[in-house]
Order: sequence, then C-alpha cells, then structure tokens
Amino acid sequence: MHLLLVTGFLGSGKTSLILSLAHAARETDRRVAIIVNEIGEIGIDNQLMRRLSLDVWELTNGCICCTLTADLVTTLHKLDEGYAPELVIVEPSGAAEPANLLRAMPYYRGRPLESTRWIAVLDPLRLPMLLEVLTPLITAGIRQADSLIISKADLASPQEVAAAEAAARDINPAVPLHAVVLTRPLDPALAAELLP
Amino acid sequence: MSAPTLEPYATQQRWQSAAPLLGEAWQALLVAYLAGLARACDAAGPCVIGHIKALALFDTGDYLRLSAISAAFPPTVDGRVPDGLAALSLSLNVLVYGLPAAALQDLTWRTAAALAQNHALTLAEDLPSPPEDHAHGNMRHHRA
Repeated sequence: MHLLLVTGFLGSGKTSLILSLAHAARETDRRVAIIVNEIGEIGIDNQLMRRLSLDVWELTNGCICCTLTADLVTTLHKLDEGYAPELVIVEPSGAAEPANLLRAMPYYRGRPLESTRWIAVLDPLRLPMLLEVLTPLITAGIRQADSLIISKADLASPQEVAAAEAAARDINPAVPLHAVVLTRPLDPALAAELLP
Repeated sequence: MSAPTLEPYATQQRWQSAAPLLGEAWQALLVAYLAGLARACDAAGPCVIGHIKALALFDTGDYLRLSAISAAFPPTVDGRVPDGLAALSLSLNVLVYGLPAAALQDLTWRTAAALAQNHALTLAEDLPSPPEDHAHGNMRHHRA
C-alpha cells in the first residue's frame, strides 16, 4: 500500500489534482482509496468524489492534523484490512499542518507502507499574500513536500507563475516543481511521475 | 502579524424558480452569488478568504462545482446544470480567516436573499444533513 499526501492551502486545487491522479491510477487498474478531511459541517469534496465514482473515506468533526490524527491511523488500518488498496490518497483540509500527519504514521501497524509521498499544491494567484499572512503553515508545506504543483497556470499570469516558482524555490530549492492547469487532464508523464 | 482565526460556516440552500430555467441561467446566478459573497466578505472587515466552495448535484448525474478564493478573481466553475430545472439544492462551505461564523452566516444569507429577490426566486436554508451512509465515530465511508 502506497500513501500519497496531497496538501495545500484552501482553494489551491488539491481536489482537482486528486481527481486527476485518481483517474490516472485507475486507468492502470490500481485500487485507489481516498481519505478526505474537510473543515466545516458539510463535506463538499467527498460528495463530488462519490459522484465521480471514487471510493472515499471522510474524516469529519475535526482536523486531521490534530484532533483526528488517531482517526487517520484507524482508517488506514480499516482500509488495509477491508479494502486492500494499492494506493491511498489523503487530502487534509487546507488549514491542516501536514507534517503532523507524517508524525502519526509510526502508530500505523498494518501492512507496511511501500512508500509515502507528499505533494504540495500552490496557488500562484495568492502565494505571495499567503506567505505573508500565514507564513508557518504555507512554508512548512513547501519545505517538506516531495513535489510541488503550481496550479491555475491558466488563470495566473506568467509573471505570477514565475514569482510563485521563485518563492517556492527560495524555501525548497531542490524539489521537483511543475506548473499545471488542473481543469485539463493531467499529462500522463507527469501523472506517472507524481504517483507512487 | 499574528495568523487570523478561521471559523468555518457551512449551509445547504434550496433555490426555487417559478418556472424552469436553462442550465446556463442557473450557473450564471450561482457564479454571481459566489462573487457577491466574496465581495461581501472582503467588505466586512480585515479577512483572508480561504475558500468559498459550493456544490450542486443533479439526478441526471451532472454536478456543478463553484469555487471562489478572492473578491479579486471571478469564481471558477466545473460541471454543468441541466436545462429545465425549476429548483436546485446547493451545499456551501464558507472558509474565511478573520470573520466570525455568525458574520459569515449573515453575509451568506443576505447575499443570497438579495440575489433571489432580484431574480424573483425563493430561497430556503437548511441545517447540514447527516451522512447518507453508515458512520463509525468520526469516519464516514462512501463506496462508489
């Protein structure tokens, strides 16, 4: 079982990226499970994913990075025992501190994870403002990710995309970084690179 | 600068028209709603709009997803509304740093009510409904 963590601030494009990646994984006949944690009383992302025929486990009534960390581990156990997915994609809420999730992983006692990968999604339209206002949250996601996706390359100007790339590189110089348009199907080569 | 606080607000709304509308008309209305709500939040005080997102599901299998992240950018749209609907239900999450949930509730309702009045629509708001599928504590599982 591979674990793929997709993080990013609220509205950055996490769900759109996950839909593309889940679609790409299923095209290769991989069994995919998605764990979603949304802020708020109504889970919108899980409703959409279900409408698109994806298998979704929703963690509710709290934040996956603090009050629901144990629930994440429990959910992984249940998935391992009852569903045996090859790939689990976790979408924390955009307000979660993603590093806390990885700290919980040693408490997972199921089948050993074959790999754990972390993709952070960045919104070039708001990254400079968010880096100023929510510095620890945004920088932590960039610093620790294995790959960075700059979303909304169709909505942002080339200058905004370049500025986002530069800001991300300042924080994590060596990380693979891709600017994408998430309203279009993901390039298969990129999907293959991002998927564990 | 200290990080502003986040008090999420969520609701479900029922929009009703006296006569069936084209899907494009519903879509334009809801885009205007989210854009207006983003502007209203922006005007209400110092805040950072995290995400205002809405979803409508239809019996045809279609869906409409709307997303606003700022008053400065128009909402983005994914999916479509089928033609000929006289009513739709909308799930709405309003995630704005710096504005209390009570203020978000007020802005959400006022913006919708004004739009409904301008377009001769009726509007009702519901509390969030319980999950459709079985639940285990805080975990809800929805199998396709």
